[in-house]
Amino acid sequence: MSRKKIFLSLFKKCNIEELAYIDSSINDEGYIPTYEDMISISNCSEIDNKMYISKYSSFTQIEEYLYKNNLGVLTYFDEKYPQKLRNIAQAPRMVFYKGNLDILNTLSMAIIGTRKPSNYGIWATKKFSRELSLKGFCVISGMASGIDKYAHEGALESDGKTICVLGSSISKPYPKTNTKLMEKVINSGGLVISEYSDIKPILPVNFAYRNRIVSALSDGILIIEAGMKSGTLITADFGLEQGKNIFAIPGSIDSVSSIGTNNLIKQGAQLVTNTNDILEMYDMNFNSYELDDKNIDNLSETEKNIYNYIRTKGLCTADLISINTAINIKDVIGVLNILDIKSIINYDGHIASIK
Amino acid sequence: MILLKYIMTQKILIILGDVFKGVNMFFKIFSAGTSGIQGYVVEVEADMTKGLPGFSLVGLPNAAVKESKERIKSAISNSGFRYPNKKIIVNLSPADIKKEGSHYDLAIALGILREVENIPEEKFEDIAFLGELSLDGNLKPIKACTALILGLLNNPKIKKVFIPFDNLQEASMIPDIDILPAKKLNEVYDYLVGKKSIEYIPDQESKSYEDNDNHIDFKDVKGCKLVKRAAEISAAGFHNLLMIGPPGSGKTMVASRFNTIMPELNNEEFIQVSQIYSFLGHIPPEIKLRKRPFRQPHHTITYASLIGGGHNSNPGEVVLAHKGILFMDEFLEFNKKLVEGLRQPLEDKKVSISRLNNKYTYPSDFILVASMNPCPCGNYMNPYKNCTCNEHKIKSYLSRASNPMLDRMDIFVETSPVPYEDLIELAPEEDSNTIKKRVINAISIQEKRFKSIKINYNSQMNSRQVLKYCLLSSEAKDLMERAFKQSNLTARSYHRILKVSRTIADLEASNVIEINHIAEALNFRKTFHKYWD
Repeated sequence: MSRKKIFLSLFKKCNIEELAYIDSSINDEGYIPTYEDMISISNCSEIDNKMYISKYSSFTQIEEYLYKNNLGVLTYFDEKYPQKLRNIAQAPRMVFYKGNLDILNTLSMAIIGTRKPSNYGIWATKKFSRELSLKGFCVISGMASGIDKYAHEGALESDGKTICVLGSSISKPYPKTNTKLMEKVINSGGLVISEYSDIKPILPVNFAYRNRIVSALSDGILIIEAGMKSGTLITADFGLEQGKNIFAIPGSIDSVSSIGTNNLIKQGAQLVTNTNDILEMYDMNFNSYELDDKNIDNLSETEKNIYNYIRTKGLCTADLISINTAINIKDVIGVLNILDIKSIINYDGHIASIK
Repeated sequence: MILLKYIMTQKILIILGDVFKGVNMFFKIFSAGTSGIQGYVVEVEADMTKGLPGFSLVGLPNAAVKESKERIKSAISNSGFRYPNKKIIVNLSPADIKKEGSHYDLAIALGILREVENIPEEKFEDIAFLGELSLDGNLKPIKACTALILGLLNNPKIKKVFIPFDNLQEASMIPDIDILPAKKLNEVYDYLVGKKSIEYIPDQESKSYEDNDNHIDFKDVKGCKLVKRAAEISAAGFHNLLMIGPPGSGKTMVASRFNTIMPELNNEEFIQVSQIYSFLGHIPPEIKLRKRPFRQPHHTITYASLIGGGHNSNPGEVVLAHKGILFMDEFLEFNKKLVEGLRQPLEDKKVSISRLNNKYTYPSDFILVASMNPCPCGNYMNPYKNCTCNEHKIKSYLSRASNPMLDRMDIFVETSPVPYEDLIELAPEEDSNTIKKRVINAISIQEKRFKSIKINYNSQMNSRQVLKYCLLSSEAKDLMERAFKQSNLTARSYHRILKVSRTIADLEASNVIEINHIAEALNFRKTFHKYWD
């Protein structure tokens, strides 16, 4: 970790090339350039004494923050700084991270959507996230509640790698309820990054602004569900600006949470109905039956009946299964829970869906 | 001298004799009073002396008791007796407890009549008297009749009790005491002097209400199979039930039919319940028919009317729901303080109300059936409609349910409306009686199991009893283990699941808990983890 680079990246108003020049002229990484150094090496006009002093004090705070929370930091001047991120216009000068940095350069897909998904959205998120990470995609999302959370969970379920891009500081993740998820991601060889420290208060606009990083780090953006004015659409805009593939999952036309995605499709986003639609863009292929070899032959007659019904519907309540298959409700819920534990279907106590 | 002494002693004896004669005028009759819903024996002492005619009543009577002297005067005259022209003193003993109610009329009137009409004293030795008199000498129904009679049982001398005829039905269930119903003061007098005996005609009202209630039935609830199954399990093991779902998904419909799948009150329970209701002065016809109480307080209810209180510490809804169902619709809309007030009754099966002068303890053993929406707009997680609440609102709404309260819930179930297309094709649903039969069977299995210990139902098992009575098959054990590894169930969830699965196994009369019983019980815990984990 270079103290010089961290210090230089704090001068956000200064021209990045001037700063890079100062960086290259000083060899000692631990040396913090004095005010005189900076003025003499470059002719950066923005720097004055007052600014230097304030930057110096925030530098000490950041050092303390890094030390306290045991975080790593990547600056724009680092060689490891991902090229994908360097390409965008408002590249962050400095990102804090925790976890495995290597996965930044793997093939990745951003899976994003509304914070209030429908059951359809949850199902679709998990399905795509799981299948994409089986194919080696690294799943990137914002660790918000809703789709983001399920995207990370789906990747973890199939032992894939996933990156959380936070809009808050890593020491105080928002929403708090996802703290456990964050730890899981780090422990599973994933990565958590954020351009924010806890020195300044977290503003709502940060969450919209970090979407440019989500989009920049990914090789494609899959939008599961988005309402009319969803923040997800901001990410899609960033993605378009940065020239990424935009994929969208269609929803029923009367569904509020699919208005945004349906509009995106109208405007030319790639319509996705299965994983192969995405994989084709990357010259890959996915055999959808790879997942389906789940020892279904061992199931009892009732279990098979119920499983087949769920497969045709995709998503249904226990009530509907009982009504339409004429199997007693007590057997239906018994079987659903057993199938859930055997990881053949998903069941949350009310709604069942295929994996 | 000896003669003089003899005469003196004679005189003293004569004077003493006069004094004793005066004491003989004093006389006592048994009646009863209430403290809370507990009754106790009151001795009505009536004394008549020469002097200015008058009537004074002592022993801390309240206004209703004090006024009885006017009623008694008229009732005695209008029944064809003579009202004595003497100074009458009546004491209600124990004299230091406040007396309330109008049921002392009969006992006081008889205290006066005995003197006038010379009713033999022995007659009063084993009889107590309860009843309010009207001016024409008729007996009017009284409040808290059951509680009063139960109080009389504390005195082993009392073998019979006179009550107003209108109270006969609620009183007829009480064992160990002969009930003598009377319509008029004259009838009581005739019985006491041996002119007439009292004919005792048991129940005549009971059949008339029966058809009235039958129009609500579980078969009317179309499609909501999961929640109906949850209700069945809850009724069979007395498990508290929490239903979560959007408006119009059948929560209230199921709850209001809960009573139809519960077994009728048995004798012991019926006496306890009618004791509580008689305190309010009116026993609802459904309860007379042995239906379990179903109380549905509105969420604007006050603390005093939910738990109990007021100047005479009236029992609240939780007491009125004793041995029945307390249905709290829109559970999260209730004031938080109220909901937390439910903790004691749910834990101890009784509720204590302390006031300045005294502390009353009421029984309060009920099934709590609660229903709630998952968010302020009601449509969070609804597959057919969209929720308009923001995430923060949903969180804060759900967090209104406190953990200790959720902890007392055994069964969590989610409901969703059945779409119209599915609704019209439905096969006929099971009716309440079929479900009730299963429930009764399960309850009788539990009664046998818990015969030697103090509890009655699976829901009351403590953790040691859970380990003793909930035997899992090896398959079931495996499933439970896997379930624990996959989802973050806690030790507390473990016991809940075992208890509920015990009830599910009882519904199928299975001795061992099988894999499908555990799997079903897991279902009713999952919903909790979905919303509150």
